[in-house]
Amino acid sequence: MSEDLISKVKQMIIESLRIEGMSPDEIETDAPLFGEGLGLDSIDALQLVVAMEKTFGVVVPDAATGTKVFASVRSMADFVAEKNQ
Amino acid sequence: MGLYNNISLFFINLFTILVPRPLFPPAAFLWGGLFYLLLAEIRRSVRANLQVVTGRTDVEWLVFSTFYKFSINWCDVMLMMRLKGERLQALINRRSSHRPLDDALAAGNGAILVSPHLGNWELGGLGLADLGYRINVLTFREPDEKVNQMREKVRMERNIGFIYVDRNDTSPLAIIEAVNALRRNEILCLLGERDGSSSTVAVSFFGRCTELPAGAAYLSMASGAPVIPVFVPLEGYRYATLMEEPIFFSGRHGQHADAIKEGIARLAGVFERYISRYPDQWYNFFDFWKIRPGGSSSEPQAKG
Repeated sequence: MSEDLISKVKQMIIESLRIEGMSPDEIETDAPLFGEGLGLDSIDALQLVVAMEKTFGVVVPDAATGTKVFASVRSMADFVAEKNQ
Repeated sequence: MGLYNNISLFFINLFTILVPRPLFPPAAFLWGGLFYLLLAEIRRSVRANLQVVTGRTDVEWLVFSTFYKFSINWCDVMLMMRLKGERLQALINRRSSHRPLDDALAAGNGAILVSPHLGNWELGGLGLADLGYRINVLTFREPDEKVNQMREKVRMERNIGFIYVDRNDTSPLAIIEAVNALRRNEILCLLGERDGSSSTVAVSFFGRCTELPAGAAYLSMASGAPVIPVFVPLEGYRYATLMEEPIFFSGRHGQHADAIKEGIARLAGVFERYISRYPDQWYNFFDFWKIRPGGSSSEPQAKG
C-alpha cells in the first residue's frame, strides 16, 4: 500500500466532508472512521461513498462491502488499490 | 389496514378483471362502507387523524370517505398493474410540469421523489416509468413474501428498480444502494411521513411535534440530489400527478442536523398543504399521533 494513496484518501475525506481545521496528517491511518475515531456520522458515510466514486472511480456496491471499506483510511485505500489494479 | 396480503390482493385483482372500472365506485362504496362499519378500532384512529388534520371534531363523512376512496384506490392499484402506455396514462387526468424532475436529472445527481401515503402513489411511479424515466423504489419488505414477489414482478416488467431497506438497520450504509442509484442519475421514490425507519427527525406536522423519516434528507445531502415532493390524488374519476418545487439539503460535517431539520420541516409544510386539500385520501389506518387513550398505535409500516 503506497503512502501516496493513503494521503490522497485522507485528503479526499477532508475535502468531501468539508472538515475545517484538520490536515491529512492528523487523521490516523488505522483508526476507526466512525464512533470514537474521526467521529463521522451517517451522512458523512454516504458522502464518502459518493466521494470514492468521484475521486477514484470506484463504486462501493452495498452495505456489506461498505462496512469493510469504511472501517479505516487504510481499508479505504486497500479497496481503491484493489479496484484499480 | 390488513388488506396487504396475498389472499386479499388475489380477490381484488379478480374483481378488477371481472368488473369494468366504471363499476368500481359503487362496489367501493359497499366494501368501504362494510369496512367502515366493521373495523371500529381503525375507524376511531382515522377519525382521530382527521380531527387533527382538519381541526374539526365532526369529520364522520370524511372518515367514511377515507374507507370508500381507499377501496377505489386498491381496485385501481390492481387494475393498473396490468396497464401500460395509453391505457395507463388514461388514468391520469391532470399533470403538473415535470420541470423540477427534468432539471434535477439535467444536473446529473438524480432525484428523490417523496410522497406521503396520499392517493395512489403507486400510479405516480408506474406513470413515470411508463414515460421512460428510470425509477427505483425504496421500500420496506412486506410480511407476506408473496406480496413482495408480486410487487417485484410488476416492477421488473416495467424496468423499475427496487431497493429494500431494513427498518431495524441503524448502519449509515444501509441505504448505500440508493446512493449508487442517484450517482447513476436515476430517480428514487419513497414514502415520507410514517415513522417506520431507524432515522427520524422531530418537526411540527399539523401543529404537533412529529417524528418524520430523515432518509430522504440523508440521501439528498450525500448525493446532491434534490427532494421533490410528489402527490397523486384522485380527482373525480381520474388522478392528478403533481410535482412541487425541489428541496435541497446541504451542510458540512458537524452541521448536518440543523440542515436536515430545516429541510424536513419544509417538506412537512408541503405535505400539510396537500393532506389538508385531500384529507380523505391520506391513508394512515392507525392512530398517527398516538393521541387516543389506549388507541392503536400499530402499523407504522410504510408501503411503497
